[in-house]
Order: sequence, then structure tokens, then C-alpha cells
Amino acid sequence: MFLKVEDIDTYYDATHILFRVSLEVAEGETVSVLGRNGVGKTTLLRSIIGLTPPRKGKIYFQDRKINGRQPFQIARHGVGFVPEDRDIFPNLSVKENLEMGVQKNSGRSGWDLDKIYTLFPILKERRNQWGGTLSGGEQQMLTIARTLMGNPRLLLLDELSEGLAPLVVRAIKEQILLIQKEGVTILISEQDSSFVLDVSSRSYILEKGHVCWHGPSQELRDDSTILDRYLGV
Amino acid sequence: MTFEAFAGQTLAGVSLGMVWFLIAAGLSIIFGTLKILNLAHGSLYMLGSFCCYQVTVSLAHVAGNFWIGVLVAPIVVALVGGVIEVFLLRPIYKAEMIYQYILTFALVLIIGEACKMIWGVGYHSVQVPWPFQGSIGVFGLSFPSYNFFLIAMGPLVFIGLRTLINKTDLGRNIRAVTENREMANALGTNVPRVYTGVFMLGAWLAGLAGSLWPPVSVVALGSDMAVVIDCFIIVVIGGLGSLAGAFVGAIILGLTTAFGLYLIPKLAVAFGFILMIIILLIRPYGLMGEPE
Repeated sequence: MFLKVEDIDTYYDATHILFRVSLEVAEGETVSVLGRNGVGKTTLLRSIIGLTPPRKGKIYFQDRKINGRQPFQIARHGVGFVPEDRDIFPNLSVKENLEMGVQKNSGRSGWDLDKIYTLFPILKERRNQWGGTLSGGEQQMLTIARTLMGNPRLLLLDELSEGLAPLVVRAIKEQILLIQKEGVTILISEQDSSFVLDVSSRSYILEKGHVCWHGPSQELRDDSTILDRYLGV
Repeated sequence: MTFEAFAGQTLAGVSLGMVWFLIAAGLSIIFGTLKILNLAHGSLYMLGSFCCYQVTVSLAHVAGNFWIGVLVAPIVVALVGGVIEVFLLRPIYKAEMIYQYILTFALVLIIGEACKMIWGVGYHSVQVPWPFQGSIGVFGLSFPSYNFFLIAMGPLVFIGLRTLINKTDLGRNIRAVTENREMANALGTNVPRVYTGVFMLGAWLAGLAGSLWPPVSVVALGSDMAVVIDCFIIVVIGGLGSLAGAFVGAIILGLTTAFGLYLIPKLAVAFGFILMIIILLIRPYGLMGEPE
């Protein structure tokens, strides 16, 4: 299996967030993780990249155990993480932000400055500006572009649409479709299912740190009662 | 005050300030990136002084022995810094601030005692090196040329550090880690190695300052605490984490100290603190610091 999360338990200090969560993603697939605010979606992605390592359970990426390694080591294996809070480097230029994503000698290729600037023309225009001067939507694009610079095989996208205008969300959705076409495997977390059900083939729904449902995204599109039960307000 | 005295004190103050700048710059960079207030920074300076002195003694008959010391001592201090970061600081980054103070204060005592055991309690002197033994005449007055060399070192190191931090990949990584260590880590930057590198760079600067100052002063125990207090004042005046602030702060404190010593020697110790209080009242985040 490309990515295999096996019965992980993750804590923030003393707070137990994830309970025996398991999840699988096949190569080339796009999988979404849905759930209300605070059910552990971000923690799940942070567990995979190693920023909040699980205390129990195992995580395999391309059949290699990655939990217990440092985030930078996991990133160098080809896992790219795009955080929800648009964690750009505000006092680095846009170009320097992109350079921070570069991983030398990774043996992977495909993305470089030229290609990124073609996909995100606004970043080319603003390449010499400080990252902090970009608008919210532009910063979100920069976080995605920055991670792509490392040519990840697996892309972890955390709540991209949060707090962004519908028009920007649509632009980002188009970019995700383009990234998919490049053959990048994607695990995307969202609260707003309308955004991800169209781009993902399978979905997991989290509730209070447990996986409470998983199956084809098609089923969620067809049967709104499941979504209402777990995501409805 | 005669013009001669005025010029003399200015020269002395600025050269002292430039040596302090080297130490304060390291203290400031380490604090900016590692978020560690290294109380032992003055100890690294003192260690540099003793190491450079040791080289001049061991190679007493070798030409240019002082310059060999200036080359070797900062590297020794940087290596000691590397060991301190990897084995002592690394395990306590996540602990509360107070543990950092206790640990770095323990290092002050350990390094101080180690220096005492190796070099004893006496004063050691280092000769003013070739080619700076002579004097340089300015406005018909003559001043020791070594002071001009010290003054030149400040801007040189300042420009070197600025270039390193703003123009190189390594500098970009340091800035990124300083701004958001977690994100830099998740993007594939070996953050622990950047930490070690930054601490070693700061230690190297302290060692360099320690090597350069003895020809105008002496090598002795106690310089560790004296220097670290002055450098704290400098980074607070200039703004923590600001290189330009450390530069300006060092010149201001150097001049204040030199003229304070000349005019009211009994109160000389207080001038730095008074200056710090005044500047903090006007600009609480320092001259070049940014409000949090």
C-alpha cells in the first residue's frame, strides 16, 4: 500500500485526539478526510508528516515505516504537507518561500520554478514581494506551490478552503485537478464536503477522533443522509 | 575635556563597542533562531581569550603566532559550542525557559572553573601583534593602530553576517527556521542541524571577539560575566534579534562606557544600565527591534 495508517493514537500533550485511526491511500488516488471542526483531521495529517507523532500504531509510506522519524526526514521521503493556517514565511520573498520547498538530491523531479509560475501566474508577478504582503488566497496558493517544489509523491492538504472566498476556492479546486493529472497522490482534509467530493474517489469521515465511516465518495454524493448525520449542524 | 582626550575616548569606546558587537551579534542570532538566552555567551568569549593566549604562548617563537591564535581559538570555541548545543541544549528546548537559564548558568560556572584549573587565577597578557604595534596620527594626535584594526572588524563582520543571512541558501534556511521552525521542518529542512550551525556561528563570533580583545586588555577570569552583562544591555538597547540593532547598540554602549569612565569613574558601572532604562522607556522593543 502507498500510504497505510495503522491503528494510530495521537495526543496533544495529555489530550487524546485520535483513537485507533486506520486509513489507506493507493498510489495515484485522491482521498478525502471529512469531519466537523475539532474531530482530529489536522492531527491526522500532522501525525503522518511527523509534526505530532502518534504514540501508538504505525504509519507506512511506500512500505517503509515512517512514524518515529523527524518531519524533515518524512518530507524527504516524498511526503508534502500543506498546512491549514497558510504557514508561509512572511519575511521571506515569495521566491525564497518557494525555494524552501526544494529538496535537493531527492531523485524526484517534475516541478520547478518555471512550472510553478505557469500554474500560479500571480506568484511569478509577486516573486520579489515579502510573503506576508500576499492576500489570503495568494498565501494559500504559495503554501501549495512551495510544497510542490519538493516534488512530493504524496500531498497532504489540510483544509485548503477554510476562510477563502468562493471564487478563490474554485481556482484552488482547478489547481488540485491539475496536480492530480500530474500523478500526485493526494490526501485532503475538509470540513466543507462540497469542495472535495468531486475531486476525491474515496472518503473517510472522522468523528471525535474515530473513523466512523469510509467508502467511495460517490456514495456520499448520492446519499446525503450520511453527510447529514456526521457533518450536519 | 581636551580634544585629545575626547578623540582618545571616542576611539577607545568605538573599538570596545566593535568587539562587543561581535559577541552581541552571536547572542542575538542565537536568541532569534533558537529562542535561547545563552547566559554562557560571555564564557565562550573568555574561553576564546584563553585559547588565543595559549596559542601565543605555545607558539611563542613562531612568527604571526597571534594570528594563528585568532584563526584557531574561534574554531575551538565553535566546536565547544557545537557540543553544548547537541548534547545539552537539544534535550531542553521543549522545557520551560527557567531550565535554559539554569543550564546556561551552570555552563558559566563549569567553563569558568575549567579555565581556572587550566590557566590559573592570574592575569595573562597578549602582545599587540604585528603589524599594528605602532601608532597612527590623526589631526596631529597619535593613536594605537590596533584600535583602528578592531574598529574595522566590526563593519566587516556586520557586512559578512548580513550577506550570509540575506544572500545565501544557508541564510535563507536560518531565516525560515527563525520565522517558523515547524514549517521549515515539514518542508525538509534539517532544523536540528540549522540550530547547531547557528549556535556554532554565535560561539565562533564570541571566540573571535575573545581572541581580538586581549592585546588592548588582559586575559583573566571574570571577563565572562562582565562581558555577558554588557552584551545583554546591547541587545536590549538595539532590539533582540536585530543585527543592525546590535551594531548601533554596541557603539552607543562603547561610547557611554568610555566617556563614563573618563568623566565619573565611580559611576561607570551604572551608565550602561541608566542608558538601557532610558531607551526602554522611549522604545520598549529597542532601537531597531520590532514590536511583538
